Amino acid sequence: MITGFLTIGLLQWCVLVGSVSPQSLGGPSSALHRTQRGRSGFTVREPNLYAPHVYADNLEFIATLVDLPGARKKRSYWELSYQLYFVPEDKYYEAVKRLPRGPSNPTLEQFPGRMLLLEGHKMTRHLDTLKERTIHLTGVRFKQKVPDSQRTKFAYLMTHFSVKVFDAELKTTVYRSGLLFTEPYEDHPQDPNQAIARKTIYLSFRVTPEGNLNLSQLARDPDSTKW
Amino acid sequence: MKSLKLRLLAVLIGTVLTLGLSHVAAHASCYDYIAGGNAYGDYECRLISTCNDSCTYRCTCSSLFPGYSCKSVLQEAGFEMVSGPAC
Repeated sequence: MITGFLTIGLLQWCVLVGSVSPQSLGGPSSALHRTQRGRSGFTVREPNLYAPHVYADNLEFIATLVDLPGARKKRSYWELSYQLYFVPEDKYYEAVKRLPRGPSNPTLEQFPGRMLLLEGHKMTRHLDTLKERTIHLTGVRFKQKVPDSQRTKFAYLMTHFSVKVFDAELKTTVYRSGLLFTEPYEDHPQDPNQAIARKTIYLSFRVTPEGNLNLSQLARDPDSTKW
Repeated sequence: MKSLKLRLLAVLIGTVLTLGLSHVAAHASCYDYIAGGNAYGDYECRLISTCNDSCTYRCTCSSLFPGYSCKSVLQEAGFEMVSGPAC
């Protein structure tokens, strides 16, 4: 009997280690990994390219719980903690050099030299409308906080978040924390060869009918619940 | 008879644990960051969106081998090029 339990325990361990540590295979488990096609999907880094024009004076921060099955249920709630940092290019690349090759979930502490731009926390049970499920902050000072010599194109804005949603329709709690990175610039909508200052940082979540939590930092229509 | 019941109980516990761990693994599939390199160059990719088990990244390449592009590096690494997020 004990042998039976030991066998089951060993098999569970193998499933767990094999499933959540693809880096142990020596590379990314790429079947599910996608990158956007076209110029906005990838870029070649030009180290220390001074580009003060891609630094917005102020940033907007828009965090949205785009949709959840239990939006109209009174017992549903959304809790979000967030911090927005600037990471100078040299500090960013020093930090990522120390990360393991392959996939990883870096922690905030692995990015020393980060500069806090914004932080906040919100917990709400009023989730009926998209407006109630949106945190919209304006006037986050950016350019003046970054020393002129650090205004390079390939520095990063780093969002650290912890999100927790209880969906009373699904009777389930979903949560996730992590780090998202985005450049201080974005492509000009009419001319993708031209970089312009990014003015808005998005952080969007959606609870699916199956109880999965999707996240995105892509720009989105503020009046739509489409993912 | 008692031994049979115990064995069935063990199988049941094992099944529940397996399902639970598969669930955990499915939701742990989108990593925040991926870095690597191959014969064509180096890459680092940052998560920009997830849709169930699909993970969309924005990538930066460096140290490109002459004549090759960032696309070559990423395709060699096994990334699927898509026109937008998965959803």
